[in-house]
Order: sequence, then structure tokens, then C-alpha cells
Amino acid sequence: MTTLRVDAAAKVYGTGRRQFIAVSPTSFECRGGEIVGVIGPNGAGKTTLLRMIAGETAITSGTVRICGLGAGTRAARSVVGYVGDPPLFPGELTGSEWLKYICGHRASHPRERTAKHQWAIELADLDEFVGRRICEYSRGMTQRLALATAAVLGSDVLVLDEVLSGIDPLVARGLRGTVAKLATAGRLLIIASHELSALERLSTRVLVMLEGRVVSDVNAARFTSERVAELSLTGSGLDNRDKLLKRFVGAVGTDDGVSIPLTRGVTIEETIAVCRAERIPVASSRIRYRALEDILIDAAKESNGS
Amino acid sequence: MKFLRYEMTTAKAPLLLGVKAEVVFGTLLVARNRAVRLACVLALALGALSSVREAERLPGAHQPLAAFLIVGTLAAVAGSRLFAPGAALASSRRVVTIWWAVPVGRLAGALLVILPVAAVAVIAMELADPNPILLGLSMATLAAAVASLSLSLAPTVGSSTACAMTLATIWAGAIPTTAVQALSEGSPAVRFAVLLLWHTLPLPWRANRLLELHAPLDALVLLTWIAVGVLTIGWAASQPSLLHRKSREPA
Repeated sequence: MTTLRVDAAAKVYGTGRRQFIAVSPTSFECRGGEIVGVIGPNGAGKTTLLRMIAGETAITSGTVRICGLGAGTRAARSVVGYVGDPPLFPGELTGSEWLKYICGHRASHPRERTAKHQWAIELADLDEFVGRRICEYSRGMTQRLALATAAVLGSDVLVLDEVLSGIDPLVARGLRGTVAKLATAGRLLIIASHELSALERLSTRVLVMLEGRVVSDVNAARFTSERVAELSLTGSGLDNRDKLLKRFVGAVGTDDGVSIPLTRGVTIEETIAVCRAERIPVASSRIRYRALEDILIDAAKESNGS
Repeated sequence: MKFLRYEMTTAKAPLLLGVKAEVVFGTLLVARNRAVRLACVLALALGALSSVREAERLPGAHQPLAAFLIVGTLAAVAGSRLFAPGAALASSRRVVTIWWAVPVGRLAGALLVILPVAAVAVIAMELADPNPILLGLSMATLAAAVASLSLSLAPTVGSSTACAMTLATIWAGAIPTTAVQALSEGSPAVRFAVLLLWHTLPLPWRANRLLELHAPLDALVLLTWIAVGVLTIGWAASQPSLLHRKSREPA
């Protein structure tokens, strides 16, 4: 069953000459259990799209339906857990007090509230610091509390804005584990982040946004299993790299050479053979798996080209 | 298994549990705030000062208006914290409950903190009024009305401005009626505006008159302000744009 259906949803601020299109008409669908990454440069419309889904901002046109309910309605908001960037918490409360408050609104019985509170603490591994005031929390602690809050509030959909950003690798690993657990249990998670490597490991699907448009919707698992040949070119070779960019579909320039996708039967041997034929000196070569950064660069390139 | 058991629970909280959560949250927001704590300390200091100077003056030298000023001041400061832009306001929308549960619960939580403090200060002052029950009821009604005014302003103007505006209102309410009339003798428009505000705002003189005359109109005006506060927050919580105001004030 489709958990989230976005149908030509758009967000426009202002009117006339001051009109600003934050999100152009966008359509996509997501199912429970998916982890959908939303990537794009700053100002691409990621946060606005997430707020539209969470019902935190009114939609100018189109529709967003969550479990068949219109986004922003009370019924829809009661199944969505949203964490903004930065997450908003009352600093004067302890993490435990905050979670008790949240759980009080999502439990049907005082005993269930206590159990949920404990569950949230275990879920995000908050044991060590949950008794401290939130204003004393580090970024990583705040992000863990944010995830626990969203998990308690959102029974079906979790919308997380930059929850994986700015944290140390160990905390990031823990958060990724928690996100994966929530998805395994059937929830839909939509995560906007600039941490592309984290999304690569987590996402089942990635939406690429540029200038308010979803320009690419890719299956992350399939995409990241594709390989790329990276050729490092010496000085004179760099002058001739346009030949390689024209010769291989999807090839992009890097700081010191070119990056060529090994798709459509293209092999590393073939790329080096072409370099030899074109008398382009290659300093070094390596093969790596494609990264989300490649999608972003490709999308930006296409956007600039059009 | 514990994880799976709780993570798919979608049951809505019963209303009573939600209101209780809001009462506790309101109490914590108010009790943990430095400005409110400072106001409470000053109120208690005022009471203590009055009690040690008791020998120098006759009992009953303080009028009930002093009690209303104290409780009004505490309510203005406390009310401004309940829906301050930032986490307090955002949470009112995110918890998703019946619209009146959040303002009513938090208001009750705030009163649980400020009324005992005001009561201690007032007891120490030995007021002239002999009926403590009526005095307590009038103080509670005024406190709820003033806190409602303060909390209804906070989402749009910010908590500091809301607090300052409400405090100014409360203190202006201590000006004698004759002075107000003298002030408004100039232009008819000023006179109209001053009298309108004087008669509609939840001012200490009205609580004082409620205590003295038991006039239903006075109770009605104060109760109307409580309703206005609850309705305003019910509306504000349904306006997502207000949630994006970032709090620039320290906790």
C-alpha cells in the first residue's frame, strides 16, 4: 500500500514580482519500509518539501496524502513524526521529561506511556544522558533525542531534516542503525541530508532536488552497485580531457582528470586504450562504486546544460 | 520483541492523559525559567519585607490591590513562557491533540507554580480583606486571565515583548480611576481608547472590584480573557507559519 502520495504538489511564496517558487509541481509515491533520501544543494527545496509532507507548511497547489489522509490535517499529523533543522526542544527540560511529555500524548494508558518512554530511550540509546537538561546536550545527543521524538510521534511516517548531519562517526553509526530498525518495522522514513555517504548506506531510494524540482528519482541500491573508472591525468592530458568527456556517456571532469561510468559494456581497459589512442597521458587509474555525489553532479550538469 | 511491540502502536492518547502531560509540561516550562523564578523571588521578598515591617504599621495597611498586582505580575511573566516561539509553540502543534487541551493544560500548570508563591507573599503581607477564600478565587481568576493575555500575545510578538506588554498593562491597572479620567480629558478619541482599554483589559482593579462587590460582570470580563487566550492558542497552533519563528531568547 502507498504510504505517501505526492501529486503535483508545489509551494510558492509571495506574488507578482516577489514570487518565489520553492518547490515546483512534484509527484512521487513511497511505501512503508522505504528509506527515502532527499539530496540537493542548499536552497534546492528539500526542507520545504519535507515541511509540505509533514504538514508544517501549506501547499500552494497539488496534493500530499499520507496513508490516504491530506497532509496538514490533524489525522495526518498524528501519524507523522517531523524533526526540523535544528530540532526544537525546550532546553530547560531534561530529555526524560521531554519524552514523558511526548509519550503522554501517544499512549492510551499510563503504563503504556512508561513503556513507550523506556522504548524511546532504548531505541536511540539515550540512557547515559537522558536525565540531563537538553540545553547541555551536544549535537549528537540532540540528534538522537530528535530521532526518538520523531519515532514516538510518527507511527507511520518519519520526516527527518538533517538528522544525520554534523555528528561524529560513532553516533552516526548508531543513528543509522536506529533508522534501519524503524524502516524494518514498516515505517516510511524520509531523510534530507547533505551527508551523502550516510544516505548511500541507508537509503533504498534517493530523490535529487535542484532549484525546487525533483530532477532524479533513483534506486539507491542499483545505482551504488554501478562502478566508475577514475582516471588521473597529467598536465597535458587535462587539456585533452574533453575528448574523453565526449567519447564516454556520463563522463564528468574531476579536479585532476575524468570520472567515467563503467556502464553499457564500457571497461577500464577500454578507457585506458582510448587514452593511449588519443595520446592522453594517464598518471593513475582506479575503479570505485558510484556515489550519490555523482548523481548530484550529473543532475547539476544537466540542469546547467538545459 | 519489545521494540516491535511498542513501535507500531498508533493508539491515540486519552484526553485526560494528554491534558495531564500538558499540565506537567506547563509547570516545568514556568518553574525552570529564570525570569519566572526571579519574579517569584521578588514577590516573596516583598512579602517578607512587609512582614518584618509589621511592627511599624497597623495591620491591614496593605490593600488587596497589592495582592492582585503581585499575582498579575507573576502571571504575566509565567504566561509569556507557555507558548514562546520555538519549542514551546512548535510542540503545541506536533503533539496533535484536541485544540483546547494544550492551552488549558499549560495554563493550569503555570497557575500551579505561581498561585502558591503569590499566596505565601500575600499571607505575609496581612491584607485588609477578611475573606481568604474569595481573595484566593479572585487572585486565581485574575492570574488565569492575565496569563491568557500574555500567552496569546507570545506566538506573534515573542515572549519578551508579550511579557513586557502584559506587565505594562497590569501596572497601568493600578493607576487610580481619577488619574485615568484626568489623563483622558484631552481629545475624545484618546478618552474613548483609554476608557475602552480600561474597561476591557484584565486589570487588577477589576479583580479588586470582584472581591468587594462580587459583580458578575467583573467575573465575566476576566473569564472572557481566559477564553480568548485558549481560542488564540487553538488558532495559533493550527498556523504552521508561526512555528518557524526561531526563539532568540535564552531558556
